[in-house]
Amino acid sequence: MINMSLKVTVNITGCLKELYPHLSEREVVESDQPLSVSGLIGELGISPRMVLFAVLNERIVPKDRQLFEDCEINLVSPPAGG
Amino acid sequence: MLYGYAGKILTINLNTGKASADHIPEDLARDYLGGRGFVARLLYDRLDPGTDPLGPENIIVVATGPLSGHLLPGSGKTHFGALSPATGGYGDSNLGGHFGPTLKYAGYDCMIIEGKADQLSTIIIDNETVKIVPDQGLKGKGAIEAEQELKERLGEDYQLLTIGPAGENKVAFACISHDFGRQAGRTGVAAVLGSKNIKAVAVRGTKKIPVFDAKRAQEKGEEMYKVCFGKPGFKTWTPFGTASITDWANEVGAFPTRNFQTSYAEFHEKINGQAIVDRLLVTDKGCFGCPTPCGKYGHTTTALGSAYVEGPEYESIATLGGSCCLEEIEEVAYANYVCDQLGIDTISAGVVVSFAMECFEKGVISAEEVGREISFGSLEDTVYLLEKIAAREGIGDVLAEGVKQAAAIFGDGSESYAIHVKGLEWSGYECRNAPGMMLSYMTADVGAHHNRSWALGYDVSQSDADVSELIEAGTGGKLEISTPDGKVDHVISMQHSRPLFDALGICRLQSMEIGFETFHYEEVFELITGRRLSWQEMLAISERIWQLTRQFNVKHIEGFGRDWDYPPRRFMEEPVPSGPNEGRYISKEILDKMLDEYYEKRGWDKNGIPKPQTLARFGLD
Ligand code: SF4
Repeated sequence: MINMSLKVTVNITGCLKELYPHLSEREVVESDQPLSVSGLIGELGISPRMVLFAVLNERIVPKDRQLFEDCEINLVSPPAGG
Repeated sequence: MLYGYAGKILTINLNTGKASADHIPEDLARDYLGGRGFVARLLYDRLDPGTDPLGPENIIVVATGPLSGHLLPGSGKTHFGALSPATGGYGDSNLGGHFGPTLKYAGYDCMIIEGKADQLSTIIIDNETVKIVPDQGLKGKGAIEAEQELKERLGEDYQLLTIGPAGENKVAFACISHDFGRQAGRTGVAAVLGSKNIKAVAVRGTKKIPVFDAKRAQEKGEEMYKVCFGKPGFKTWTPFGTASITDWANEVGAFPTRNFQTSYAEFHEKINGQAIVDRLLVTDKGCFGCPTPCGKYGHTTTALGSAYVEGPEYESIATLGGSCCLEEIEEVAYANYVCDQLGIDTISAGVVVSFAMECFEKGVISAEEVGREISFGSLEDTVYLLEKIAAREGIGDVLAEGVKQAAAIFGDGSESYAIHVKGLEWSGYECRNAPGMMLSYMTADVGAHHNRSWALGYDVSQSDADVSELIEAGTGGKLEISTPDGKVDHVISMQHSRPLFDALGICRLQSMEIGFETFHYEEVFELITGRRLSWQEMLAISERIWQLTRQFNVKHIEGFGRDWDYPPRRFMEEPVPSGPNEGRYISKEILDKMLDEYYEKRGWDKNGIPKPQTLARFGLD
């Protein structure tokens, strides 16, 4: 049987750290199900509307993009009123 | 000895033409840190009630912070303050660039300008030497043009502050310009400079600032840069700067459109951060010591002309683009350039011009009064009004006082859509479904400015729905009601944390936008000043400053109190007509409940006046 477990490293940036103080800047999420960016955001308990974009391998990706084993993703918040 | 500080306050008396330098009182540095703290305390101590903001007895305080000018990220900030001609109360604004560090290298943490010169002049500071030089052909010159001319005359070593024609003509929202596109834009500090007959201030400095542990402070500063470069947000923040929020502000229904009639602009993708990068950008531009240059220096071409311009920043996009409905980024950038040359704050300018457009549309003012027909979306009309305002010609003379005063003159119900708090025009976030952000604007000490507290994130994150998906799904994007629950605490907390950076003399964006941790500032502060202060202790100082600026308004604004904290009637009574927040508004009843809670938590009475015991608690009695 194929092991479907998935380990993803997530970097939380900008005002997400202020809004979600329970999250650390770098979180590791493990899932035994396939996981999209949206799914990951849900797992972390973040409101999707506070993620301006997600960056995977230095590229902005849509929120329905499927994540893969050992990938590292940055969740970028809207600029918080400079 | 005060480590980290240059150690002196420079006072320039324009009545006598004399300058003097005094030591910074140690208790001032201890209790107020610097920057905004120095500005607030010195203004409070030196200005009497009844002072005319545009009279010679008003003063301008320019202050750096203990971290300004040192080797660490974002250490180029300078704070400006005066009794505001826009509000009649506490006024301040800050800018980046290189002026503050250079002032410090000249030996001064702080400069006070008092009195009035007998003719238009430039102040030239070269370390200990201070001269007041009468106008040499700068009268009426654009702020950027004047800076260019003075750079050529004095040399590249000089850092300059300039004002444009709007400052010379004492427009209530005139701004101080520096470094070809950085502005201390808000609260009309440049009008005060203009009232003192000062067109420019030039400074050259070659001294060292004493540092408690110079070797370790340098090592820590270098480490801080490395940490910044390694932050995941680093690569995503710099390319677009603040303009990257444009689409998001629309999707969450917070984008001021048509003088804040609605909160969603169909054309937002034509004026967003990507449009700047694709159609304007020449290079990124940063302030002194900045690892994350958010300035976008670009070139724009329109039917009215072409220009190089720094920006537009998000706030200019929101007010000139959204509120005036300029639908192309080139037009927004051109209007931004016109404001920069005239020396007008782009935020207030966009709100004032769009207010005039709505007044015209509703028949409150006529073509005869305006001098022509005007309409939303017209760059030509926007520039026409900006030039009239700066010159104080015709209708421009009324608009030059800001929307509060203009509405009082126009009447006919226009005060309900004069978008301001305390007389300061509202910046770039529409709040009819954002109670936390609304309270942030209502209670900001300077008036409706976003940088004291940006609680919009708390308002928006209350829901799980993904806004872009709602809109794509054709739901009309109607968002759920955002409630006031818990917002007061967030607003208060942000009103301490954000302005703290202004007291330290550093940029907040490395912390706010790319997640730079505050313990780095604690460590470097100790190495530079020799004083150990936790972030929490610094926040307590920031809270003291907040109480002081409230008390400043009590002292200077006759009858000041709760009535000064309400938003315009539009936001309390008119439902948003379209977009994701269609149907939303926040009633006065809800806002009153929030104000009650806010005042109580602040230690203020029901009218929003600090109680004697509160003042005593902060050493302000
Ligand atoms: S982030 Fe922007 S405002 Fe802050 S120091 Fe850098 S260039 Fe200046």
